Amino acid sequence: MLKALLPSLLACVLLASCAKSEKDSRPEDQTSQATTHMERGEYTEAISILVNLQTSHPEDPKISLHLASAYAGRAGLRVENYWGFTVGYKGLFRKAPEPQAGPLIDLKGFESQAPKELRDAVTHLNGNLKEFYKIRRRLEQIPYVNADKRQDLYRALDAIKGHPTAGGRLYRSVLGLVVARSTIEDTASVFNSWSKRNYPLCDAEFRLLVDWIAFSAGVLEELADDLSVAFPKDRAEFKRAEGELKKVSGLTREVNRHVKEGAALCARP
Amino acid sequence: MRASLIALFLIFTAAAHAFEAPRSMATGTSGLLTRALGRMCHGFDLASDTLPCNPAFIAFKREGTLRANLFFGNNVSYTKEASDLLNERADEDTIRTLFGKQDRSEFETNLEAGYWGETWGVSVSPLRVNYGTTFRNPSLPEISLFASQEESLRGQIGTYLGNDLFIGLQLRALHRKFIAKQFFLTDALANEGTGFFEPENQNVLYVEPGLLYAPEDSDWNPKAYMSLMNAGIASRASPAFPSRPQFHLGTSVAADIGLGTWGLGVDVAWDNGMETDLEPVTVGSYYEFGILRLLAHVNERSNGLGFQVSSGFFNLGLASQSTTFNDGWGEKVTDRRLYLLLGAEI
Repeated sequence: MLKALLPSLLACVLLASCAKSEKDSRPEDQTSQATTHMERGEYTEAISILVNLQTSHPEDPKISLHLASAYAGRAGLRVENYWGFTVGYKGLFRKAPEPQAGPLIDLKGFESQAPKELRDAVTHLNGNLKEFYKIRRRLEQIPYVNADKRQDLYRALDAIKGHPTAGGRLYRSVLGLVVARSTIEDTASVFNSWSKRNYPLCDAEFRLLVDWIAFSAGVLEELADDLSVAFPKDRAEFKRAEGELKKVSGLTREVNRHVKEGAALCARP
Repeated sequence: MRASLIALFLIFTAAAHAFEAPRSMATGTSGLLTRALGRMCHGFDLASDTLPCNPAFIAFKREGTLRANLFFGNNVSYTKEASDLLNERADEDTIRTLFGKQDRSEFETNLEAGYWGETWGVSVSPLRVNYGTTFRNPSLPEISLFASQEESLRGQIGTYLGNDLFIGLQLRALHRKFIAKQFFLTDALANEGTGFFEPENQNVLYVEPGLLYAPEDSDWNPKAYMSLMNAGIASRASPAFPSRPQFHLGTSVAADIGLGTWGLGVDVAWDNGMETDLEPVTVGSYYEFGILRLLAHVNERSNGLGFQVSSGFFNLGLASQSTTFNDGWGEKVTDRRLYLLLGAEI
C-alpha cells in the first residue's frame, strides 16, 4: 500500500512547492508583501519589491500607485499629514479674494543695478504671480519635507506621472503640493538672506532663487493638470490656473536668461 | 489510487482569495443570540430574537408572542452615511465622515418585528444595515469596504414527527443592496466620489430546514440537531455575497441548577469555500434565572458574552463579540464589538 501511495506523496510535495511559489509570484501577493513592509515602516524593502514588480508590469496603475506611496512613506509622508487639506482642498485654486501681497522679488533694492530688460522681466513676473500668491498662503497648511527626503517625493511624482485614474492624479497633486510648499519655504529663506545683502545680482543665491521659482511654478503647473483630471467637473477652472502658472514658468525662464547674461557680465574683470 | 487522488484534491482545494464579505454580514440575521451565543444559537430553545435560529424549535408548542427588536452595534452614528453611500446620495461630507479615521470600523443595525406562534412564525425586517472597512498602507490608505442594506421576510413552520423528533423549515426572502469594493482613499475623494460607489442589487430566496431530536424523559433535556442555513437561490451571483450553505450539527443539554436553568452545547459547522472545510467547533452556554439571562460562546475564531433582561413587555440586552475575519487582502484581523438590543414583547 505504501508503495502505491509513494507517487502520490511525491506529487503532493512537488505540487505544494509549485503552488506556494506560484502564489508568491502573483502581483497582488507581492503587492501585499510590500504593503506589509510599509505597515511596519520598512519602506526600502517595499520599494525594492515594487520597483521589480513595476518593471515586469509597467502598465499596472495599482503597482505604480503603491510604489509612489512607498517613496512618499519613506520621505515621511503619512495620510494624517495630508488628510486635513486633501478633503476640500479644491478651494486651493478657487477664485477667492486674497489680500494683496507684496511682490515676490522686490525691485526697490536693485533697480539701480539691474539692466532694463531684467527689471521689465521681473515686473512682469511679479504682476503675474496672482495664482502663485493665492496658493502660497494656503500652502502653509501643508507639511514641509526637508531637501534630504525630497528626492523620494520626486521619485514618487515620476512613478505616477500621467496616471490613468482620477484617484492617482489626486494623490500626485497632493505630493506635488508638498514638494511645492517645501520648495517655496526654502526659496523664502534664500530670498531673505539675499535681500539682507541688498539684492546682489551677480550672486549664486539670486540664480538659485530664480531656479527655485521656476521649479515651483513647474510643479504647480503639473499639479493643476493633475487636478483637472481628478476633478473633471472643475476642469475649466484648473486649466485656467494651469495657464496662469505656465505664464509664470515662461517669465521665470525669461528672467533666468537675463540672469545668465548678467552672470557673464559679472564674470568680466 | 482513487484514495490518493481524493486526498490530493482535498489537500489542494484551497479557498480562492475571493473578495468576500465577512460571514456575519453575509449570513443569517442580526440579533442578540447570534452575537452572544454564536452558532450555538441553533442548539438552544431560547425565545429572544423574533424567531429561533433553528426552525425545528418552532415546532415546540407555545403561546403566540409578538416581538419587535431594535439591534445595533457600536458606530451606529454612521448609519446615515452608510445609507447615503448605498442609495447613491454620498457627497464629500459622507466620504470625510466614513473614511476620516483611516482605521478599521464597522457597525450593524437591525430592525425586526415578528410573531412566534404555535408551530409557525413570521418576521419582517425592513432594515438591516451592515458596514465594515479595513485599511492598509499608512502612506496612501487602501480600503476594503463592505456595505449592505437588506429587507427581508421570513417564515417558519414546524411539526412533531413522533419519536421525539421535530422538523422545521424556514423560508427567507431577502432583497439586498450592497457595495463591495477595494480602492485607494484618493479614488473616493477624486471627483467628490461621484459615481464611484455604485451599489448592486440582489434578491435571494433561502430554504433552510432544521431537524431536532429532543427526548423528554430526562432532567437534562438533551437535544441533538441538524440545520442547514444560507442555502438559497440568488437573482444574480455575487462573489461578495455567495449563497454558500452552512450545515450545522450539534447537541445541547439544559437543566435546572440552583435558582435557574443552565444550558450547555456544542455546534460543529461545515461551510465549503472556507480555509478548511470544517468550521471551528463552537461551545456555548447560557444561564437564566428570573428575568436575567447570561449568554456566552467560544470557538477558534470568535468568542462572545452577553446578558439579557426581560421584564415581560420590555427586554434589553447587551453583547460583546470578538471575531477574527479576513480583511479582504488575505490577512486575518480580530475585532471586538459591542451590541445593544432594545425589544418589546406582547
